[in-house]
Amino acid sequence: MIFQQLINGLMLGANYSLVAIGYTLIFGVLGLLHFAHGEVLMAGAFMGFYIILWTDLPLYITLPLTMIATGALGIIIDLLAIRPLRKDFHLAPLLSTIGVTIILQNLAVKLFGGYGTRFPDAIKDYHFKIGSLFISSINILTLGISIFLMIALYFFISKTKIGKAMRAVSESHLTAGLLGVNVDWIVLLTFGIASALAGASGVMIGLAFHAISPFIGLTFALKGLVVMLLGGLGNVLGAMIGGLILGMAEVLAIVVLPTEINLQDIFSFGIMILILIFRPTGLFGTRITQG
Amino acid sequence: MKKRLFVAFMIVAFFSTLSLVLAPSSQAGKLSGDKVKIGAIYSTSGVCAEWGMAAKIAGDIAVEEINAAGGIGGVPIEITWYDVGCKAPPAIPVIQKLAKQDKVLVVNGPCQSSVCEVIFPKLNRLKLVLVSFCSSKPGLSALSPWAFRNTLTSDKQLAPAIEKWKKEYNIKTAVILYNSEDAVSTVEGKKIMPVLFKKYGIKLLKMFSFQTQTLDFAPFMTEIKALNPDGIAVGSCYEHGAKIAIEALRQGIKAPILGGACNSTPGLIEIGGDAVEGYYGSTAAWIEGNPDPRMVKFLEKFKARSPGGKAPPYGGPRSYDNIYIIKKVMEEEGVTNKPEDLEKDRDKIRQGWKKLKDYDGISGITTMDKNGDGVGGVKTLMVEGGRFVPK
Repeated sequence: MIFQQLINGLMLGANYSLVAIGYTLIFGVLGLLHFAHGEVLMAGAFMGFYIILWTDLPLYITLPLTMIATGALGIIIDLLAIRPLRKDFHLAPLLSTIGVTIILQNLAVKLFGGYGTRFPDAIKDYHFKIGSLFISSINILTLGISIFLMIALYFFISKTKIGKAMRAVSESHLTAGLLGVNVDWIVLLTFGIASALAGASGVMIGLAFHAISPFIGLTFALKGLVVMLLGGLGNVLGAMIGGLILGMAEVLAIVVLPTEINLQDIFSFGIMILILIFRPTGLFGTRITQG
Repeated sequence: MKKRLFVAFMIVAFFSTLSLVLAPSSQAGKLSGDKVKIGAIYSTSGVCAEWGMAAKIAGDIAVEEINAAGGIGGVPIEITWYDVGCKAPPAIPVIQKLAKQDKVLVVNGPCQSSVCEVIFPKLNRLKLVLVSFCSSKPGLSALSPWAFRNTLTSDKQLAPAIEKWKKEYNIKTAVILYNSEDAVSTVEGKKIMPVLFKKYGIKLLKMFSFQTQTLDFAPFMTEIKALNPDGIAVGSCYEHGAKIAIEALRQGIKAPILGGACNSTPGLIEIGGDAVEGYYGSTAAWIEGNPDPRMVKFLEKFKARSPGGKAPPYGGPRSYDNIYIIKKVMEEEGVTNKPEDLEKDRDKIRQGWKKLKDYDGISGITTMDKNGDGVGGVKTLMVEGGRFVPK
């Protein structure tokens, strides 16, 4: 049973990782906690839902289309709600993202209803049994896609010219600008990529957990935040591993702790508090001395 | 001459008596004013938005039907409604505004037990009737003589359902999974189900709690699979119930599932699909599959207005019935609708709700018990062939 739970934890963790990477990317480049990231995920879930429902397109087309759409949504959010405030009081963009969260969530309620909606079966769900272990094809697929996107992003950031520019901007906007990097464009691109990943997460979550609603964003936004802190602020690799750790930890909380009181969230947020106290740089972050 | 006078007197007396008998009673006479002000609390935002939206659409349908037929005592209804976002704190100023500023006669809503729990005690001072259309946590209406709930509390709904579930599937052992963040679900999972299990001889193996935002039930079902229970009881709303059923099917768990008060609602089948076949539960309103022509007509109107053409949870039909009961009570109790009679009219409405008996609405037959909670009309349903079938 414990091996089955580890598989469950891995599946859950992969979803957390994908969300947290988007958070981390934006934090790394802008130093901004993008609270509306969860709502972009929710929007992606609904976009994927309607693409499948209306066009009956296969998942391998639906997924990139959703990523493009949510990428565009992320860019719009940056242009309308963050860029105009970036030079103001440093908390202004953060508060603005909270506003975007409220707008997107309420808009979704008005458009789609406050109802939970069954996500269409974009692929057939086969169940595999290995001894007493059980794995579903949807779980394997979501795990595979999540890992593929994470690896692709890792190589994009570490090996490409644009990735290097993103890293330069995350170090210092001013210096990167002086070295010829178009900072505004890089920030816009970062929002686009992070939001595209959130869109992919939305579709994956719809497939893995069967139903979507206008309120799924908040859960993943909070968990993504924990993972980001766990992995180290702005550290993409840390976010990947942090997500898997949190997924495992939550599942183990059900196995080990009393089940009559729900301790999953206490457990995850407890981890976050402990990390903030004892290792504020996160598990994979490094301390930078300034001045 | 005397004879003529006597005949004339008799004719006058006859027609006077006839006019008294045939004339509409003063109770059902024309109300004063140009509108009958009714308040409503519909949470169309927040986590319970689907219930508030359904109640609003259903309430609006009832108001339109009544107004098209001449209103209440010849005066059209005007609804003043507020959205409290499923939260108790905003509901406090809202109820004060409805009572003092908007001067409504009665309020339809709210839905959530957690909101009712906070505002019901305030009604003693405001002297305003509130009628919830879906709160089902036991004991809340007893908080004020001005509080009513045209619904069935969870204990009343679950008792017959558990009895029939046990009989249908020969349940001897079971586990309970409940949403610890929701007031009604917690009471169902922690208090009502264990007591009823004991009563019907079902051994409780273990209890699990989750939260409203929980999406992944795989770890719970893995634990439950290892316990191998005869049945799984779910204290939650239908969305979680459906996800639990899907995950159970995925992991090959055959134990039949029993849902709490808000499970047997069309959304359960919509989300759960094949996985909810055999799912047991009871409801305060049988909606999809109900052959009652009034429900069929209501559902047709409702789906034409709801986002995505979806059917409502039971709070919808209950909200619809609430408006009609308000009309009936106002007409029977002789509400005048005069501004100077506001307090008296509100009390008359309270008296009318208090003695409501065998009201035949689209949700079923409703009678108020001594606490102001609805009794009767509970339906135990099982999902069979993709539809709810009464048991």
